[in-house]
Amino acid sequence: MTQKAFRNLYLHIPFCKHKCGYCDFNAYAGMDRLMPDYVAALERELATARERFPFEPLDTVYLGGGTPSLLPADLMKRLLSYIRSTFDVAADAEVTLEANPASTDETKLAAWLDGGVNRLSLGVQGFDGRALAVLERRTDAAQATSAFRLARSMGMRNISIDLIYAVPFQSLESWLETLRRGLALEPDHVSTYCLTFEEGTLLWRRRAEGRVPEVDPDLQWDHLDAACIELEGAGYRRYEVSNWSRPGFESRHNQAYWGCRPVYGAGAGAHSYATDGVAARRWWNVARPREYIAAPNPMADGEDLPARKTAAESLMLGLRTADGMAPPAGFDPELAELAAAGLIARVDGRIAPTRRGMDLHNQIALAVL
Amino acid sequence: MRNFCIIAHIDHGKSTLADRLLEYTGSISQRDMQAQVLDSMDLERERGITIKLQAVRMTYPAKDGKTYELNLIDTPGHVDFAYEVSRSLAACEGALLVVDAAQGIEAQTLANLYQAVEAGLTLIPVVNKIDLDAAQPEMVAEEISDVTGIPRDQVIFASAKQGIGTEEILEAVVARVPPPHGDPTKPLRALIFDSHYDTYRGVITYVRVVDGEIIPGTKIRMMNTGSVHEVDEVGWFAPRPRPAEKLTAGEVGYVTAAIKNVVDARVGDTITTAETGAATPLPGYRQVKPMVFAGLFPTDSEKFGDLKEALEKLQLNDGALSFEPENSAALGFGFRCGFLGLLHLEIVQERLEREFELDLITTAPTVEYEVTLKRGGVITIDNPAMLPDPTMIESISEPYVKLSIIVPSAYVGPMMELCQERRGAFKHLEHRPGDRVVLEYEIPLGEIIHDFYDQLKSRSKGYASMDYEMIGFREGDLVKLDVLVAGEPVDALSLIAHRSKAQIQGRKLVEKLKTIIPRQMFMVPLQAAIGGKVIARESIPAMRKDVLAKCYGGDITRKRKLLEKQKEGKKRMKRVGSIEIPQEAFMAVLKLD
Repeated sequence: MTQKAFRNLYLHIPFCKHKCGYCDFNAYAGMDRLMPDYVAALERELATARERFPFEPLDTVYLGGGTPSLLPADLMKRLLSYIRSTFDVAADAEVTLEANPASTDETKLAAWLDGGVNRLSLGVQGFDGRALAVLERRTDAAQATSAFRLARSMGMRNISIDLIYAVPFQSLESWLETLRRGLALEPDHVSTYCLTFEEGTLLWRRRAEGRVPEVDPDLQWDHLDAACIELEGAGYRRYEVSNWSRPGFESRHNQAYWGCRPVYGAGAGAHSYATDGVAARRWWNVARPREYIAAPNPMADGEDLPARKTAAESLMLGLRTADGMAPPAGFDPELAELAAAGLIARVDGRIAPTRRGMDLHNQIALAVL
Repeated sequence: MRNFCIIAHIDHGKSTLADRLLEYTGSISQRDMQAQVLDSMDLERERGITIKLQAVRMTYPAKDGKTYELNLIDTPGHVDFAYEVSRSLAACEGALLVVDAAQGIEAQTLANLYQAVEAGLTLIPVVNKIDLDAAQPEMVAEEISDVTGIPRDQVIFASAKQGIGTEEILEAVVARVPPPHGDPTKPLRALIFDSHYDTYRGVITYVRVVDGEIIPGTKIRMMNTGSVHEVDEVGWFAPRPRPAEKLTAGEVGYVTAAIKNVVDARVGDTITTAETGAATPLPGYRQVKPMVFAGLFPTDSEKFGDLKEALEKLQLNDGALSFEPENSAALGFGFRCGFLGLLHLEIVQERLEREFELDLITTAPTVEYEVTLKRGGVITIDNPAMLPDPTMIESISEPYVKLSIIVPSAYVGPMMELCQERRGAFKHLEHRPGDRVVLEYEIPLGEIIHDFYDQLKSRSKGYASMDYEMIGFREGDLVKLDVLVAGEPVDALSLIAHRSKAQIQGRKLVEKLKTIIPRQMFMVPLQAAIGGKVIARESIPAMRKDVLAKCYGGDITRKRKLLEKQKEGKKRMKRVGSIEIPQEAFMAVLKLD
């Protein structure tokens, strides 16, 4: 396969101060002493990847986690400059860093900005103390607000906040208040995530024990619908199932995933996706930081996606976005059925989800997979 | 030689006792011993019940210095197989009556015990599980003595689990059970008490030779079905097969004769020689008739052929299973199957799913109805969907059974209440030692195949036991209850109910279906109707939100697999019109209380 060149780079920083009750990401608390070795291992992997795979000037770089903001300023600075010295980063590239308000300070912000970070994704999650307690977040509304304001005042032009809805015991009013307090900060981008009970998390166990109830699906929808009204009223567009932005502030990096463009993922548990436009291959690294550091080749496993599956996946992902996609060949009956059910619409030879299609996106995915 | 069987209630320790006897007589070494050797099917072992009986021969050197051949014939422990029990009793001269020291005699045991007495068997009472904390061996012994008339001091105390009483039991078999008598010079008559299909050897028939001899190479004739076969091999199980030169009068063993189908070697039939055979068969033969019917449909309609093949294979081994093609508007092509009872149905269903890897939808079991038409004539239907239009019906009759329940007297009230709810007519009440009561009711069979047994158990804290036998058809005020999903009648959800209960059943059924049928993309009305008149309605609200919150680089594979798995699950639902109905919806009527 003639693989398309990578123009998007993801780096995983798996460290956290504390693992939140709902989190099923590849994240670890209490491993901070591994940070220097980990950054060295990341640099090693990047150097090898640069040799082995085709890269074009990077359009996006994304530092996700875990909690990238937990890395000491000098270490992050070193990593950012390593990226720039190893890859050609386009002049207008989007360089995102995920930050927890509790570990965001002036020194770090200065280092990030200096290293070229031009987009901050702030893990606010909520403003209501009770909801944050259920989520087992160790930050509060004041920290979130001050971190946001500090970043803005220091010149971060593009800031996104994450908010979680349908938290057990949370009323619609509390969610609306959360949204309004978020909007008061004037973020450029907002991600709203419906709280999901993931197997293996503390929250999952608490539900099984009957201590935490899952919010009724009708109420979940009420929260979602309230978000649509609030955010659209404030000038944000729902450009993906869970993502909203002011015009021009869509996450370019995440659009690469939904558009099935090649993304190289470096770091513990990171996934990479390569394609020639017809078939694809996805692979992923060993998940545990210690193993990742020790591994001469961190790749753990992968899967080859034949053409049909690649196309089905592209539909599953592309139809999460408001702009939709050009329909791949071979799915006419499925797409006709989805259109008849009012889940997708055809516009100028493209297909895109309707509002209902976004809310019932699993039904689209089930039809095409 | 002694031929004997064990009569026991489920869980009273029959299989463990059989193992102990085999072990004690050295028929099987402890090391080779797979726990509970006689119950050879996996399903039997899992459920702790015996489905198919078998016979094992043991050699026992008794205290009197003589060595005896002991044939132990296993009997099934469930009411569904009452006829098979009667045939295995007919093959013996004696029976061990095994009763749990903590539970006392159960209804099933009592029924079998009366059968054994009628068949003229010598009973050896054994109180088992005397090691249990809750054991009351003296009281149970008294109860047995009271019921059987056997002196109290002849009751043996045992614990099969701990090996207590094993020798005493074997000695009692030798001393009390009479040796078989039969004339080897008379024309051959051998009773078939079980048969099963073996892929390599055809049907293996278990027989008790009453008169004459069976010798390999001779031609034999089944006196009731008339089929003729040539004997390949005879022998006995010990417990591995031991071929022999012949089986002679009094002996128990097996016969193979390249018989292709168990239907040609029916339980209860008599084997004789094809030439110069016996004039009259042994008494007691009857063709077993299915009592409970249900539709079996492949979830994937393309598996119809596979289901047919699987049913044919099961039938090779199960003469009581009947099936004929059924075409349902909702479920497509499948089979209307007849079973001896609910357990039999469950066993067949599980074997089809496990051994043949079929995904099935089973419709709610029903009984047979006799419908008298206005224009004259009577038709028999075993499928509610086939009931003619009410305007054409003169009357409908349903099968009734005589039901006996044995229960501690404290639970008589709840038991009577249950029987009344199920349209039972009280017949008789009798007190037994140990503060227990025997209740007799006449009750429609259709009422006890729906969740009756579970109710019986739960309302008596597990103490009640039951047994029943058919007593014939009786007229009833019966109506067909239809279920409409999104306005369309779903034939596979129809049922026949008594008019007095149809309304409430209809209401409960739609309520239940509302919880079983998942939300669809549109609102789905559910209705129950009698004769076109809607008597209950519910609606399933449309789903509004069904989407994964996050789908980024590291999530895609996992989320895709999650959805793919969900899609597999959807495939196991049946699409009726545009609505996906899960399998359990078709059984919902069984769980309405």
